[in-house]
Amino acid sequence: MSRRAIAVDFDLVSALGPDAETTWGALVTGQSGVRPFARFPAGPARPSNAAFVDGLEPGREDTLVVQMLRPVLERHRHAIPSDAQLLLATTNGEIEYLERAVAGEPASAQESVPTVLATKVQALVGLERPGVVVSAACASSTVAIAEGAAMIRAGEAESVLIVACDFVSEFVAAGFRSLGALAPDRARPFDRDRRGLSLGEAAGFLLLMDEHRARAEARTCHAEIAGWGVSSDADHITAPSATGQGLAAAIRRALATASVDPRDVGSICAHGTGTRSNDAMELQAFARVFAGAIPTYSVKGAVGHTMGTAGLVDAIVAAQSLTVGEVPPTAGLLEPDADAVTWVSASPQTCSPTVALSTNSGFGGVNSALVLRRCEAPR
Amino acid sequence: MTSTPGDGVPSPRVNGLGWIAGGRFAAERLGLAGSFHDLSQLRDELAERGILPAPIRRFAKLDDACRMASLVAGLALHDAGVACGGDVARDVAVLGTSERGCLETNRAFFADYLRHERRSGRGSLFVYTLPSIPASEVSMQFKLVGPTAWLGSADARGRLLLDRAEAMLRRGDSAAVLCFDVSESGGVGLLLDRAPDDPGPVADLAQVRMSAPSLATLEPIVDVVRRAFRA
Repeated sequence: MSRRAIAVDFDLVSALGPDAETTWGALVTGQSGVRPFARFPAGPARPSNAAFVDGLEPGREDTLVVQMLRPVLERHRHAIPSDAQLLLATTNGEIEYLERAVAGEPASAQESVPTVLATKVQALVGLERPGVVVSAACASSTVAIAEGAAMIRAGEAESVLIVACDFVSEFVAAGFRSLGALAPDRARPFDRDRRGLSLGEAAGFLLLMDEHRARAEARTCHAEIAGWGVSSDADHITAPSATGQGLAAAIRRALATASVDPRDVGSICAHGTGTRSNDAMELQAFARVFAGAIPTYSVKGAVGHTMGTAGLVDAIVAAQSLTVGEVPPTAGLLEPDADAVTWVSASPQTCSPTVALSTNSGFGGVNSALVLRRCEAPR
Repeated sequence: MTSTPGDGVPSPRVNGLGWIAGGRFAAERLGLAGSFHDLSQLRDELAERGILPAPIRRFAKLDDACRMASLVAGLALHDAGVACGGDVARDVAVLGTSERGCLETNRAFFADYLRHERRSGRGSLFVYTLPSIPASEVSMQFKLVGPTAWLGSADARGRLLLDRAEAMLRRGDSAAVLCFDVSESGGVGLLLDRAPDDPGPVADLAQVRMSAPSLATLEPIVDVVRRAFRA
């Protein structure tokens, strides 16, 4: 029997605040967490700006991602069932272990392997079963949410806990700098003069539950994860396909699994990194699937590109948007690119869609899409 | 033949298996086997013999995990008779796993960055510092457009991979799933599908799993599948 996957709880910490509610409040008022950044030694690789979380301190017993995760998960631990299947999404996890080891400091690089972090998160939450790491570049958490929802729909699990985390490390900054992907000031997604991405960090979780169990436990329904699609461009290791065909395929699959007509999609939370190639590709994909413009936004001018956490942040924001009936502005947007005019806005838009789309893409040509459906009534 | 459940849809099956270990390689369904000195030589030999479904491009630029993943994937695809590569896109998902993700490439990238006094990292190394890149590399080399991901577990990654691949096939996420488990010294690649009427030898996945209950890695499955192919 096919079952619906309900988002019954979520939270996150981002550069905009210590929880999802604060982050949402800052997003809809157009605030940005991208600001001067000085976490690691100054040098050409260090970005001048990044969207970083306040209060994180390298060198503590907890790594930076655990410093982000611990308070978020402890706040909600009581609400997370111990039999939930953990899916951990990250690109680099606790990479500072490796940074220290390679620099000759006392640390074990082996500790940076993400399965080690999954074991920590399992213990932090008190889950019965070992966690599974899902890594799909910057689409990692979208792929994890898709897998979690699919597990519930197929009756393989009653509850799935998706946890995601990534932080702004010297490792990652040096890498994105080497690719020329960083914006000189801040990301301006879908802008005519966009010049790259702003790195960001975030951590959080989404708890999915089978609708019957959610009802039996009188859980709040924040949104239904109604559809999902994942595809590969099979084209280029870093650049997205110029045609947008791969992302369009993922979106069509997500709509099909949700049994949703493209005309019913009321808003799109786009990946919108602020790089020329990504944003152009996304607009191509949207134009392939949808007959006309749909209110579309990116949060990356506000919370930065949070890498493996990006999909989780986007899904939570999309769920909040469905609940509130408001589409956040695209922070950093000054003048929309020609293809983006009528799609994106620098101002919040009031609308009451019942269905939202969230998309993410990543290195290696991975594309992913989620369809979220607004809950009809409080449960 | 594979068993058919009540819904009339064939059960997932292993339709191709390739492996590399200890200087030897094999494609088990076809009974191909041989030895090699290094992976570049193996890639050249497989290409010359027409065993790779598509040439593995940029081989010298790939990191070790991507080279190994591409080779075992190529062997498994050839073993299963899957024509792919070039401009023909195939609806095949790619799921990869490994014990340590991309640890070695991460180490190489950051060491290189420190050697250059923190001035700049090398983009050609950085692109391989994601655990999922070997799966994406396989997708690109053989034009496989289904979902790709790296899955890791501190528990039993071989079992995890088969669990997720089987679930994807049952859900219809893709027509076939290519799974691989690689290390610096070897790897195993499996092509799983649900095609109904193939006259060649195949191995029913459920029976394979019953015969290889301990699946910390994919390695224990090799003997079981080989026996099933020969039966």
